[in-house]
Amino acid sequence: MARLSTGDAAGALRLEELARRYRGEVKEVLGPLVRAYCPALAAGDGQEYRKMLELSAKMALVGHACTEVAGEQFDASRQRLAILFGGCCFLADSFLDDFGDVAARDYLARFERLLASGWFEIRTPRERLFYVIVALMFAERDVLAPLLRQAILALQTAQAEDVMLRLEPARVAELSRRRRLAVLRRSTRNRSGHAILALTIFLVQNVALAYLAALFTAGALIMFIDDHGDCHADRKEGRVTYMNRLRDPERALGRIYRQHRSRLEAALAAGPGRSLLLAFLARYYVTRLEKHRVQRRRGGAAWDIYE
Amino acid sequence: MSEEGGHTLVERTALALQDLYRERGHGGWNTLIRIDNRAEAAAAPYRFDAAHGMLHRRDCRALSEDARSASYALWRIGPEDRIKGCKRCMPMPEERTRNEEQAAPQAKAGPDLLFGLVSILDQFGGVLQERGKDYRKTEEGRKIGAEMARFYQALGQREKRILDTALASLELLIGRVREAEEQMKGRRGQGNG
Repeated sequence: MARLSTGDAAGALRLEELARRYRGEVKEVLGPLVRAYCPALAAGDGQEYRKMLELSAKMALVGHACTEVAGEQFDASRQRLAILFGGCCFLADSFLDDFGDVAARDYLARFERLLASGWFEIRTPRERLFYVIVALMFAERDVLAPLLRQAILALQTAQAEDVMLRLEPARVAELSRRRRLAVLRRSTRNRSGHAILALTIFLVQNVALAYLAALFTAGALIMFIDDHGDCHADRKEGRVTYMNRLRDPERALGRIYRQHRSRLEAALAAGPGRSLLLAFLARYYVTRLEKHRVQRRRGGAAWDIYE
Repeated sequence: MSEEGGHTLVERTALALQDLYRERGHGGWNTLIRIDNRAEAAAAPYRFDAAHGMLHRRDCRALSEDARSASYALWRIGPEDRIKGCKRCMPMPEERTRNEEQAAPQAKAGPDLLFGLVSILDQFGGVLQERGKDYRKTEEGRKIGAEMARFYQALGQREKRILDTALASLELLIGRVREAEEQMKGRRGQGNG
């Protein structure tokens, strides 16, 4: 494998400091909401709650980098919004992944209705928590800004496509291997590409299109890395992803990482935002390679928490 | 921020709206807030392919299925948006800035009204009705009252039903928020005792 570029030392150091800070702050934002609306989430060993906090801290870090890339300050209000976005994504993923196929389809239909009309039928404490987080995010921001509306909708569409690939594997089974990989690769790219744009546009109203394209690239890379980390857990659950269909995923991921990173280095102006984003991607890449290797040796589940 | 044992007004209002919907149905008030803007987006003149960082005209044939799945509708391109234009459909720079008057329909009224309402409830929840009565007696209030009566008469049956439903829901909502406020005060009182 070619030498791995892990970014500059200052970026990596700042990443560590911010990660420590946000791990504390996510508890202050999400803790009271979880206790008020869905205490069961934090009950028992609290593993699911800790996983939610870790994902939200990650979202705060990415949000911080994207805000600075767009030339703005990541103030307290944006920090809170990014953490809420992380909590929202975590719960949405859980509705899609953890309660069976019927629940996944049902959630997709109800969320589509929420986007079309604003009405959301709340059936469980977890859904109440999800809805409250969505309402808090919508109250902080002009959610009818055209690009933000499209980003939210595109994220929902990409999630729905991903779920349908899982629930109806026949859709891709009849395609040639090359075509099948192309469909899976696009689904992977779009899920996180649109997610990072939704996050960024939530945080910063006006972002130059060139930066949005670069951030879409960063989002896509995050999902390729993520899927490689979850490769064994996904296989165990029968979930088909682009990364777990490849013959040599580690080598493919190395190539994807270098290509995406080069694009980012060319597209983003030097500065603290770029430095933080590249440091995050490098760290995420290294830790998910390790997660993949550990799960190959020991087996593992999607519930395991990794830094 | 949600507090231990209590919730913010936004949380309470959002939940009260959904509870009302569940209990009474929408009664003609079909849309609370619509994020889905596919219909408007389909008519926008440009497409921004975020995956490849490329700008196209809406119907450009070079915009593949793959690119469309990562594309965003644009109504105007600002001078700050230095992005590659497709060589096939060539969205020209002069065209990129002339569509400002056709800019995207922002449709801000919905959330602005909703959160304006929330802020008013927050500040004046307890005295809103009294203020309404007092205001009706002023000269300005009398003028607006006459105009509102004419406006109401001019509405069709469906519009009247929607307005009545919205006002009834508003009244219920104020009631719910007041109840929640009282409960919260009660809990705080117990805590202080």
